[in-house]
Amino acid sequence: MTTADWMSIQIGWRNLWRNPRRTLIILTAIVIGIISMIVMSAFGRGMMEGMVRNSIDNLVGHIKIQNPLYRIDPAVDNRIDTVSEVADQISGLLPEDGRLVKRLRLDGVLSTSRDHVGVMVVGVQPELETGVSFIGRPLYKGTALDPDDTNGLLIGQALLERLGLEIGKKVVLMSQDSASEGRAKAFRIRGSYRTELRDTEKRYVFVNLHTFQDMIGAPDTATEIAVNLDLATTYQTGRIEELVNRINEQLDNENLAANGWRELLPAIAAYIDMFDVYMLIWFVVVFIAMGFGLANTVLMAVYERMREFGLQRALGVRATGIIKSVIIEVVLLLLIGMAVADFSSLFLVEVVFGSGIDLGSFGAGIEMWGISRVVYPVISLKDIFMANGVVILLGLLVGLYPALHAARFTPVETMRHL
Amino acid sequence: MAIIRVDSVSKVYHQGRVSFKALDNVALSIEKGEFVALAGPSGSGKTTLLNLIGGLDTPDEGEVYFDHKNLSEMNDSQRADLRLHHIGFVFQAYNLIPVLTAAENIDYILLLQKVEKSVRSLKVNAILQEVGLAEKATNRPDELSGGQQQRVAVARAIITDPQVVLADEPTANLDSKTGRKLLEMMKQMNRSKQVTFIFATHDPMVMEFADRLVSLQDGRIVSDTRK
Ligand SMILES: Nc1ncnc2c1ncn2[C@@H]1O[C@H](COP(=O)(O)OP(=O)(O)O)[C@@H](O)[C@H]1O
Ligand SMILES: [Mg+2]
Repeated sequence: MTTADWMSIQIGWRNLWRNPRRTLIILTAIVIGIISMIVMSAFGRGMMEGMVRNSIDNLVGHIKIQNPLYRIDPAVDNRIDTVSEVADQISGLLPEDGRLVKRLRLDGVLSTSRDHVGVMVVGVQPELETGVSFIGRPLYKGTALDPDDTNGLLIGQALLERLGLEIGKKVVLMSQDSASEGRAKAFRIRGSYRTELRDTEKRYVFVNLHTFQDMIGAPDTATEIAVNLDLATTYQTGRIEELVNRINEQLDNENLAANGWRELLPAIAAYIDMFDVYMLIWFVVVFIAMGFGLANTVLMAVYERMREFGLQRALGVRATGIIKSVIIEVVLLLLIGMAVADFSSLFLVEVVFGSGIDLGSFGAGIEMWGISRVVYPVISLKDIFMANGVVILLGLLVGLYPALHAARFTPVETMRHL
Repeated sequence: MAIIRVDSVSKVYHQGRVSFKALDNVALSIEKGEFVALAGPSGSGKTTLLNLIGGLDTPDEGEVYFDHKNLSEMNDSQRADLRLHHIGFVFQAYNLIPVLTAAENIDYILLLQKVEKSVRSLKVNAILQEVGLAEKATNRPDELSGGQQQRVAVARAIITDPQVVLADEPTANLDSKTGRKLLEMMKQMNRSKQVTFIFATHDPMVMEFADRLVSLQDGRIVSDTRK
């Protein structure tokens, strides 16, 4: 930067404060605009993050290792045999924050004295599920499954109510064994769970993994291994992909494949990818609202200073120099606005809304899309860059309009009327 | 050797459907070091002629040569560069950039010329001394009197050692005492630095100071006398 540029910045800065009221008004508009961009994106991202978390929580995990055929046909034929060996090998590949669970998940029928309902029976290691899936969370009613419990069962609260059951009652589960023969076993309901989604509560019943293995006569069997990492946000897919690749490369069992949650939940992944575009559109829309004000304000300031521009031209400043000086003013205005807005947004999101926004009764209506009732806004550096980028790029574009006007003032015209 | 040559120049202004011939076949030659007054009543075309000489406007007919360079063969930027490096301007009023101090207004033109910082501050201080405004260096234009503002303008016009200074009614807004002091200062610069001065004026005092008086009427030169 040359000294002349520095002088232009100084002139621009001083010109901004010639009419402090006007400058403050347009600055306020810019600040509010950028805050609404960033806060809305944080809110939207928080909502989406909640949705992703719920989905991952819903027995998906960050990474799942299974027989690819199981994803198409979740039948006992597509199980993982000698799962302990596989799990040990994967454990060796995990980073320090990696957690691994085995699950045996098969279709089954739950029978009471009056009803039969189709359910998904999941054999789990309840003590390991904490932080991996929803079944690791505290129950709604009753007590958790003891690892040694051979006939305990956990049921969704919605199903419990639908079947008119209570904690402590007996039910019978039926499922196919490893030879596709029907097997039945009596269980006692130990507790009920709640999830964000009612459908989940009606679908899954949980028993101890070893119990389920014994029941179908396949002692060292599972249908999936789920792995979770300690991620601040689920957008950090880099580590997941890395681990997926490592597992796929090194896993001895040819029948198995590891997938990240993005592959397991393609619809949600697609939505997330679209989200950036939605946000970009939102940013541009907000900018258009404030862009008019910006162009107008700068144009006004430029017309007030017509004579000065004419004088500068007379002194030997080229048209491009005039354009530059107006653009410098616009950029200064935008930079101040961006700085104030970025800090305010961080404060709003981290401090004011830091403990989440309860959508209340409105939240009940959108639960069906897997969106949580309480939204924790997520500030993403990407959104901040994108919002600021939109503002500065479009701001420059908008600023070009008054700048070109200023460059058109000729000394002859502007100095004529004294 | 003529530093300025105006060759059969005409200038027509159009306003809507009305056109007005502000200059009509004007020819004029000005030598280096002259102190010339373009005189005439209001509307006679003085400003128009000065603007053509300074390359702020282009003639409809004829040519203007500045130091043997034909101005109409230059583009906008080239004329801007010519003004920046070879011509000083003093206008009737609003000569200064309001957000800059007296010293900065003068420094500004040196900055545009990309003169080195150490040289700049020496020159600015010297010229402020010369025009008697050393103690007003950090004042903004609105803190200066009309006469002081014009002196800053003259200082800015002269600091780049231009070949020509064009002054359009520089004394019009000044009382006669202040105007005389300003003229004396310019005359002094004309003598000491051989800078050519061209005034557009209807102020008798300027005519009195001038070595040469070119009178305009209705866009024509009606007399041209050297003292
Ligand atoms: N930009 C312009 N448009 C139309 N008419 C103009 C313009 N500039 C000057 N004129 C007219 O040209 C004539 C000469 O103007 P000018 O050169 O300013 O005269 P002076 O400086 O001697 O008062 C005047 O009648 C003026 O009204
Ligand atoms: Mg005039």
